[in-house]
Amino acid sequence: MQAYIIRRLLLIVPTMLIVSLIVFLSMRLIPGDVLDYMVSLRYMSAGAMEALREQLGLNLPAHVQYGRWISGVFQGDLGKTLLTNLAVEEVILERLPRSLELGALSLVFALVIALPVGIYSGLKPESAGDRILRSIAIAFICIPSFWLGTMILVLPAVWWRWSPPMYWVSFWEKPLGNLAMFIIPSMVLGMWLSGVTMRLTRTMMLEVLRQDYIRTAWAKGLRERAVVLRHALKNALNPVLTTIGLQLPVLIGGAVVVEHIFNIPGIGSLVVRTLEQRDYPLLAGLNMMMAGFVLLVNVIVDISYAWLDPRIQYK
Amino acid sequence: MTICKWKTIFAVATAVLLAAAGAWATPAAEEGSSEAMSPSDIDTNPVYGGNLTTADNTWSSVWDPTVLIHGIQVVPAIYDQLFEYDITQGPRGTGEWGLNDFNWQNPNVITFQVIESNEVISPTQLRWKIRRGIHYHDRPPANGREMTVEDVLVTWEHVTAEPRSGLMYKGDELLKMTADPSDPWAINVELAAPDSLGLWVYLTSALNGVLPAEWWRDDSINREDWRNHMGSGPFWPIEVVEGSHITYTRNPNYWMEDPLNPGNQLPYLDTMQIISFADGAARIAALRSGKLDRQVQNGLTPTQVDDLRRSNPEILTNETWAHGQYAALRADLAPWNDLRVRQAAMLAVDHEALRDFFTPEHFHYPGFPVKRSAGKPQYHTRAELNAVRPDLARLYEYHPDEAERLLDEAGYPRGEDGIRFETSFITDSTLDENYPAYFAYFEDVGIRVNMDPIPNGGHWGMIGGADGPNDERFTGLAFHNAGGTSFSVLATHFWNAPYRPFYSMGRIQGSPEALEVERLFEAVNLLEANTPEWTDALLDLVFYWQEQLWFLDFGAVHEYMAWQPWVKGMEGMSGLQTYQYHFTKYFWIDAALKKEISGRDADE
Repeated sequence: MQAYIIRRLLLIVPTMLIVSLIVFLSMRLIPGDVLDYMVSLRYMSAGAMEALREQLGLNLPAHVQYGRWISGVFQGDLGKTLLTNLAVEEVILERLPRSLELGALSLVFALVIALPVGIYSGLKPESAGDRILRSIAIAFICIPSFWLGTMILVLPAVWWRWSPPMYWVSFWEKPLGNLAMFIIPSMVLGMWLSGVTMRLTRTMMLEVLRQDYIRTAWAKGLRERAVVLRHALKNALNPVLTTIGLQLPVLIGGAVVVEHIFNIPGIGSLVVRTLEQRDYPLLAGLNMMMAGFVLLVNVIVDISYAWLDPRIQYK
Repeated sequence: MTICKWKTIFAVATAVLLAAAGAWATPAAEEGSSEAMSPSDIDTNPVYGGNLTTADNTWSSVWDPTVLIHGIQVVPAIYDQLFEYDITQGPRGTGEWGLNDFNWQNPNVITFQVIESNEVISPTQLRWKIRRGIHYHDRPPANGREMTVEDVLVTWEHVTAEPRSGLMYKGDELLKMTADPSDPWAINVELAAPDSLGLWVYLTSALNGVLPAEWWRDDSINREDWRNHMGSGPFWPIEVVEGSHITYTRNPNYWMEDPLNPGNQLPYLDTMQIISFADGAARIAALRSGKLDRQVQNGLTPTQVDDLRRSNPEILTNETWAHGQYAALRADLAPWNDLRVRQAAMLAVDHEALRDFFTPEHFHYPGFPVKRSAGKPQYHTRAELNAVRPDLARLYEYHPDEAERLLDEAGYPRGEDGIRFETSFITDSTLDENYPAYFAYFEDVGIRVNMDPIPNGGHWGMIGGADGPNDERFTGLAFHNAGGTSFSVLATHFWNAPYRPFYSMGRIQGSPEALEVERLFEAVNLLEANTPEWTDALLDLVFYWQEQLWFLDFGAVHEYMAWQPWVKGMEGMSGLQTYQYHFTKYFWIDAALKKEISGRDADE
């Protein structure tokens, strides 16, 4: 097991290298650079632009820029932002906890709704409750987060003159204010995952409940709670967990939109702004962080299989 | 479980959700009446205290003052400027100027701040006296000491040396400041050339703050850290959450009194917040709910402002600026080097119909000889201008037959496909939606335009960064006209020459017309600004500019700012500078009105 984990973690390195190369080159394919953005804000003569381009190293060939950047990455230095001259890792780390909070709350929201409802639907297939809940699950999957988010902003403001909190406050300073800021965005973001997980949990429960060992458990006279939670659910959760793991990147993608709509200064909104500003080192750092996150989540999901199903052994 | 039980659960859940929503919800606002908002009885009685929340999306998150001083919006509250705009001439004072006129190109409304007086010795020599009694914030490194001539000179030296400051002139290229040996509070200013038109444009945007000399000289100070920033202004920042908001607190020792209420120390507000909204719908929702006091940048579109007026008639709106839709022509190359072709392009368009289409309330022609500040000393009403230069007024009339004739005369007959010539056109992709309407009229007279919208940054990089586009014949500028006057735009076109391509994009240098422009330009600059002679000379320059049509004026769509009726001290205020400069020091909150309408306290 240990060797497997180490091997999986080591595999992240070449994957990240390939990702870094793709990210670096694709950014250079976007027309314009950070100087164009600066010019759009303020006057800049041709001479000043050239001097600045040289100062920022943007005049160098792409492969030289990449070489410099990647050698810095290996030394733990993601470089400095072109626009503000701040350390990239500092900028990312400042915003990361907010996105993690949004993601975690969304996940909690998704699972708190999806698992009990999925289990219930699996236990009572084709009942009225199952049908209603399945419809709700489909609705959760179908409603786009950008549309729902916008409606939540627009309609209450017109009808009741109510709007969500305008700006982020720290959880440690104002916990209630912080939760008030995150509760609606996390519900909007978690809805889709909730719908998908709800349907998958139901399907898996139905399948597992038909297995021989479940029939045996019933025959042994175990209580419903023990059969469902100890024997059925644990086995049904394996594919559910895989799906949740695979959907986490989608959650990050959704966070870009939700952070934008609800004015959360997280990683998602930073990505959008950085793209607009063509701040290459920051954009590369953000992409690397997200790629690393996705790879790590996949490793964790793989490892968790063994915990959920002792029959699975990694060699 | 029965259906009945599910109904019960559903009902309980709904009730819980509604209760939660009710707990968060702001109490429903009552619509304010226009009588309650009369500025005459409320706005003359400022009160202290309260918080002002302002939405401003132009926040760039750069804090280095050598970059910022040029005019990013969030910092002026921290600093004092050499000059500012004279609110005593505005609606709350003499009413001489509408606050639409408080734009950065308008030298008429400039008054002194750090500079106490300006003595014109010759067209190239000025003498400024620094005001006594301006003190820095009571924090290190200046610790509340008085501002001196040295601070101004050292700040200027650093700002003009920094490439990222984006100043058009570096070092002493335009003006040189030296300490006056005979007076420790005076500065001698020497201009490289007479420049009464551009000097004020440059100065009011170039030196928006004066920092202590020791701050500049201390290399250990991280200029990008907002905590290290200090000035002598009415506020300083106490919290910055990058990409979210900045909170400012009042400088209790601010030196300035309210010129409209002598004896009242400024500022009136206790705190101020600049909030960066990424989403337009979120900004408008916050306005509607009364959580947001003021919406400045990005401004509201005509559609948004119409919706807002319907849903919240108590919210006040005014123009912030307008997206001018210009076409800068390569006037050195055929076919645009022929004035007849340029005239034909104007006459081919039904400007009146397009103005009606875009709704007259939200649209105007900046170059049209109707000055929007009609009645002001150097402006003329439409009737007056039509009497003076009917030929210019006629360019905005629809005469397609005459356009065809002019194109024939210029040697561009229709081809077999009906097209006389094709031309390319680049523009900012965020502001390109109205151009096709104009180009449809062009096609009617045989001019085919191939549009190439490019991203905002890339577009500005092409037209603003270097020498302008090299091979494009026809470039949409999408220049932001600051709401008030057409003079302002034209002055910028002239003054930027030759360092900016507004003028050089036409590539008219060396032509007889260019020599005439330079003669007229120099005539303005040799005169003292704001005198009657200067105004007449400026009019001659403007008329010649309009006559030559190096830019085609395709009108400008307005953008709007909005503010709650309880925000006082800014009635009628509009234009770019209302957010770029720290007018907020004059604002106050009418707490009772805020409570009545939004249910919120003044400090919320």
